[in-house]
Amino acid sequence: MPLWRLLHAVGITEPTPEAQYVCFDGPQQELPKGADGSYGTSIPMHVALDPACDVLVAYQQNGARLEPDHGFPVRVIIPGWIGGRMVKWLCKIVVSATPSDNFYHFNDNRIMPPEIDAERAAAEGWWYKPEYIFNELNINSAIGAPAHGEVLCVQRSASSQPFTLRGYAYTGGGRAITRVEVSVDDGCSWALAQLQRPEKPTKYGRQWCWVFWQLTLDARALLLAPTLRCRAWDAGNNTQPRDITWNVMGMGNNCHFTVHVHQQRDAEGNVSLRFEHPTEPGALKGGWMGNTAGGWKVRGLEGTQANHCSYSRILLCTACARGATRRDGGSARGYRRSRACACRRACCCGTLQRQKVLHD
Amino acid sequence: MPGGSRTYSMDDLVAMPSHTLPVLLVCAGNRRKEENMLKQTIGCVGVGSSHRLPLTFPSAASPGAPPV
Repeated sequence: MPLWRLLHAVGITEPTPEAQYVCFDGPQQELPKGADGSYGTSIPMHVALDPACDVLVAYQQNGARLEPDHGFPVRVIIPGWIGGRMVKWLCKIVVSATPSDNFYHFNDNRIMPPEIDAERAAAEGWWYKPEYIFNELNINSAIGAPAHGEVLCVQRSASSQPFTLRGYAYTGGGRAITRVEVSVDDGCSWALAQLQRPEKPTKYGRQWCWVFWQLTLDARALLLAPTLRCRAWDAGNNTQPRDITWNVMGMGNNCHFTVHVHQQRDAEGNVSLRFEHPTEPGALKGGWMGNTAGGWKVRGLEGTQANHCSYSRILLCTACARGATRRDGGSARGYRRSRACACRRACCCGTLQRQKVLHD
Repeated sequence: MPGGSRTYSMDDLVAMPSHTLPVLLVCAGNRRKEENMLKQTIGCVGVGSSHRLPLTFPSAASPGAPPV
């Protein structure tokens, strides 16, 4: 049932200075920390009261009573928000002038800057800085197919060999996913995937569900691919960053989902491609990031920039690698001469600075 | 009812008008394992550590639901 109905039933129809937040509490003695061992958190009153936000006090899922694991008998559902605000085994709802004072409201579900580790977070009071709370989901997408470890045999004789990549995408706030793109050249150029939207928007135009995407390529287009990447865009024109930004709770990671492509050649000269995801779920040990915490090394953003350019160099044609000079229309006054690739590959169309990096 | 409180039974809740909608639920730690490979985090290892799909794809109450 909608939370706003419950609030109206007790006379709360609009936010006031005394009614700025709605706090949710689960059962006591459930968890090791906090005054009473309960899990609790809160949301702003304007979200709770807005029918378009669809905040629910839910007692059924898929037409059946909630399972114990999913919060029986009653839980909160806040579409487009992180699961951590959707308190399960709901016991108490409190209307308040201030956010929840529950231990877990402050000490969980926060995204702090990457230089803040657990020690600094505790010593410098970062858990209590309101601006680092993680509420609405951020945009994200991933590749499901090809799966980790999947092998594609590239046929030499076939005129074309369709190969389909598939995955999911979602975002927060009820915004629509407007496009998903796939790159097979380390993010230099991107191809639009087809979207499948299993659910319609709500009557308020909100989209609370994920979408599925797919893109069919000729397998031979992957022969030069160092990686497969995907990124989504939403109605707010948000997209996903190329690089991961570490944070102490490990939350909100939405960098390009990047699958490495390994080319293999058997004794007969047949070429196959093996796909390697960044990680495997749970305790499984596969993935190009390794299986040791802290074992994957980057040299900061500069380092990944450098890596990126060295990947690009691998892809350059002979003319490009020589740093051939050509006329390049990049100035409002007309043509200017610059050292630029003559090959016109998409990865050579970046800024002059990037070309310099490529060719020096 | 400023300062007051009210207790709702399950019967009370079920008697109120309900609303059904499909909603995606996502853990805040989706794709956490990639972060852990870069540097160990203090987020729960057992939840959301996967790089794979979000957790569930539920809908909430359905109209005319049987009494709970």
